[in-house]
Amino acid sequence: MLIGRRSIAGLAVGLAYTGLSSRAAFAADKEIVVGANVPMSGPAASGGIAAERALTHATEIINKEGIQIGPDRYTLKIAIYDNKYIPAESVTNAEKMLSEGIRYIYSIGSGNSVPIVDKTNAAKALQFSFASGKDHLTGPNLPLSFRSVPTNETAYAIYPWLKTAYPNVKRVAHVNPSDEAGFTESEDRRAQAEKAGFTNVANEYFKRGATDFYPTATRVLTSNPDFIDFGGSIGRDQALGVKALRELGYKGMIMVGYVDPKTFLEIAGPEGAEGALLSNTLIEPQTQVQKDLVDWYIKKYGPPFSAVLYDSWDPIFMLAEAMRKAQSIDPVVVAESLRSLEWAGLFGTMKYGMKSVYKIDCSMTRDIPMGVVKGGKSTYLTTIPWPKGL
Amino acid sequence: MTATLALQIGITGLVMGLIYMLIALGVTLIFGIMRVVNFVHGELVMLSAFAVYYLSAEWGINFWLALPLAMLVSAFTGILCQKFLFRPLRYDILNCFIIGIGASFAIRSGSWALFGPEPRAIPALVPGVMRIGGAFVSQQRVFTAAVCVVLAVALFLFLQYTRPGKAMRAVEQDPEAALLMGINIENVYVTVFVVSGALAAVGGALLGMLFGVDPEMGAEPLLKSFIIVQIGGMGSILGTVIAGLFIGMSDSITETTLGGELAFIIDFAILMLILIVRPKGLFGYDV
Amino acid sequence: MLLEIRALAMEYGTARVLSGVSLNVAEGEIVTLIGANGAGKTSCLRAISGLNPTAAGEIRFAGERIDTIPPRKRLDMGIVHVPEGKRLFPRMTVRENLEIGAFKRRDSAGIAADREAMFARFPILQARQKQRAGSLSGGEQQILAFARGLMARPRLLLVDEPTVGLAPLMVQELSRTMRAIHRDGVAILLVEQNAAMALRLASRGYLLETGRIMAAGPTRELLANDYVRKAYLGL
Repeated sequence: MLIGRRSIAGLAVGLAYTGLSSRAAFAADKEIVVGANVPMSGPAASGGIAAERALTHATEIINKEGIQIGPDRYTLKIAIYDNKYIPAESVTNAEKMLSEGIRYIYSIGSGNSVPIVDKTNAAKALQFSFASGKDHLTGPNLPLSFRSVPTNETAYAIYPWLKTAYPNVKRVAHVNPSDEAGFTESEDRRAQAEKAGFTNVANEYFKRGATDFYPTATRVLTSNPDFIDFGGSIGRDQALGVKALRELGYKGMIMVGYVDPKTFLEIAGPEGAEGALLSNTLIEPQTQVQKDLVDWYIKKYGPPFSAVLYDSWDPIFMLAEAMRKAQSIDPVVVAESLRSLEWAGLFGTMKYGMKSVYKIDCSMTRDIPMGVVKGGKSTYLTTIPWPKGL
Repeated sequence: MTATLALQIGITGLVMGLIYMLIALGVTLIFGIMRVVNFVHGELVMLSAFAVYYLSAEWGINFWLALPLAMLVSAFTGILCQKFLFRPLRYDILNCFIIGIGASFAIRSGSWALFGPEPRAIPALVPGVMRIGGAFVSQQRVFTAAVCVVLAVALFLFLQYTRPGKAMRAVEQDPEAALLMGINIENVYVTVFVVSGALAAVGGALLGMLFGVDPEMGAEPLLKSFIIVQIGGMGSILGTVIAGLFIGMSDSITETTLGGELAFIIDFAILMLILIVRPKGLFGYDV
Repeated sequence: MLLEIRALAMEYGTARVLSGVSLNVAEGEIVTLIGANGAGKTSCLRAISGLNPTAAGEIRFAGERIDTIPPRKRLDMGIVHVPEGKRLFPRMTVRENLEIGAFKRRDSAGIAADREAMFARFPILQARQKQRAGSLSGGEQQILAFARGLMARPRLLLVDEPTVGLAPLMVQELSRTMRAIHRDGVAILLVEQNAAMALRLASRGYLLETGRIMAAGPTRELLANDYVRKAYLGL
């Protein structure tokens, strides 16, 4: 019966988002519309659908209390704009949102977030993105652009930790999708790995959504690595990559991220997945808030829970809190408030920072949870604290 | 390049070529007989994979029962496409092409909403890895390759020796003459969609075991199928088999030696070249 | 009457290609339909076998009305059409072409016997039975087209322009073949541009011009008709 309910819920979501995107999103007097420029179809749809579910539920919670600014009580409303993970669609979406008066924009994927950031900043709209993209997306010239999830930046914490935790690792290979996300991830991860004292031996790219990973895996293995970082790869792609590596006889370490642990195990298979490090991945809900979130999801959509959903959870709460603190809905004012906000979220203390790298505090900093696949199960490994002074 | 690497490239290419061939056979069958480019074929692959996944992995039905059920579902969906998409358009090649693209996107979007964001996997039937020389290949891939070969041979025998198979060939070569032989063309069209749908279902189950199940899984194999069908000559079974192996091998070589991004570019370059030299494809004939 | 056509009209789009055509073929009779290119001869045969719909009039076969039933049902009744241009299945073998001619029959023993009979009657087909039909010469293809038609055990054979492009010797051979088929009790409705040959072969004839029957009668009368002699026999 679970299936039946999920199907109906799924259809309802499907209908809801087509309805939302077609409806002109003009704000009622006290409604603040947050436009979500996310992939609801195409090779990265899994991320977009998870985000849509997270954002909708988060705003329900926020709206119970509302955002009190002076005498006025505001609520948030999510309007979904499907970018199909195509940059051109994303630009069209941004133009549509800005012309409809939307001044808060959430965006997923660097290929979709980078091409619109100049437009949103020029229009004085606050953009927060779940994306890699480094200084293409963050910097003093883009004061209204925030990166709400540490992506390539996790390398700043992980590689120094790796050096002490696994001293035998010497030769690192990087495997990434051949797009903006993959390029920036690869660049940063290589730099941080070298800085931590590793040798970079390979730097491979694959086409996102490719069917077979034997060729890519064969190619990587010719460089004889002992640690393979899947960087900016997501979900199915990296599970298949890992499976191929193991089937081709690779015995060294593998690190993946942006993956739901259950899905990863299912696709990579128990032998394939064994030993893989799950970077920046919350394996099991630990706190009550996390448990509630998982319970709500399973009840509403049925299993499996999509762990990438965690990443789209806190930023919208932080936005609401920044509005309350600033007592304003002007994106320029809210941006400054957001910059100084410390938030107790799903991942512990969360704050927009990294001024030392990007010359402005605008990239999410928080502790990095690590998991590992052990005995055919994903288990919690450790939490790497965010490096001091970054 | 070492001998081991060459062997690995060869094995990878052979297996992928056979898988692409299996998907492409369903496309070429429909094109050959009905002159319809069935863009929905990739979605049949995907829906069948989900059907097998739910039936076997979720509801615990034996795989060998789940597969025929999925084949039924896929064949039935194929008939629906034939009756409600292509027949109303009177099998006009361009209109069917356009409506097929539309239907394919609609099915894919609907599937994301219906099945949710997380990809799934159908558990492998034959786990474990084989070592051939210095090269590796999972046993599931060997099994998959064998199934593809068996199905290609079965399809050939079906077309060559059975009554419905002969009727299909007759309709393919001259529909009007087939009508004069007393062949019911509408029935042949239904049979074609049933056979093509059943092939798609097996393809979906095999792909789902090797590469996971998600709403986009049919997209790339279908695109490869179109290249293969074009190279082999639209409608030619033998051409599809040879072109499938050729593309699998060429992909394996380019992706392994030059990197993943280049494979499609090389595929299209090969296609262009062949279409310039032989506009009807390797084994094509006047349609 | 085996075949009775009354006031038949046919249209392709808005163009009327046949109007008021009435025509009969008796059991076991050879009848010919002659006329110039584009007169509507082929259209008439296509209406009888059911490849094209009629616009008006009726077609009866053995007393039953057949102009609204699908081609395969007409085949069941014994109407077999050997179309213009032979229309063989070019990438099937000679043998497969023969066998598919009997597609509607279920008596495999009878089919095999008929196939052997065709081989005996046309030894060239036996010699070439494993070859693709597309690789035969024009005359051989025409013989195969006849043989394929006979495999359906016709009562009425509709034959469209069998002699086009064939050498005189081959034309004679086909004449003999049609006479032999006729002797077996099969009625033939023959459409021909080669009026001299057709009128010698048939017992009755119809002359079709721009979609209408202009003359009809026993072939010896037509052969004596001045207009026919001038326009179609070149005398």
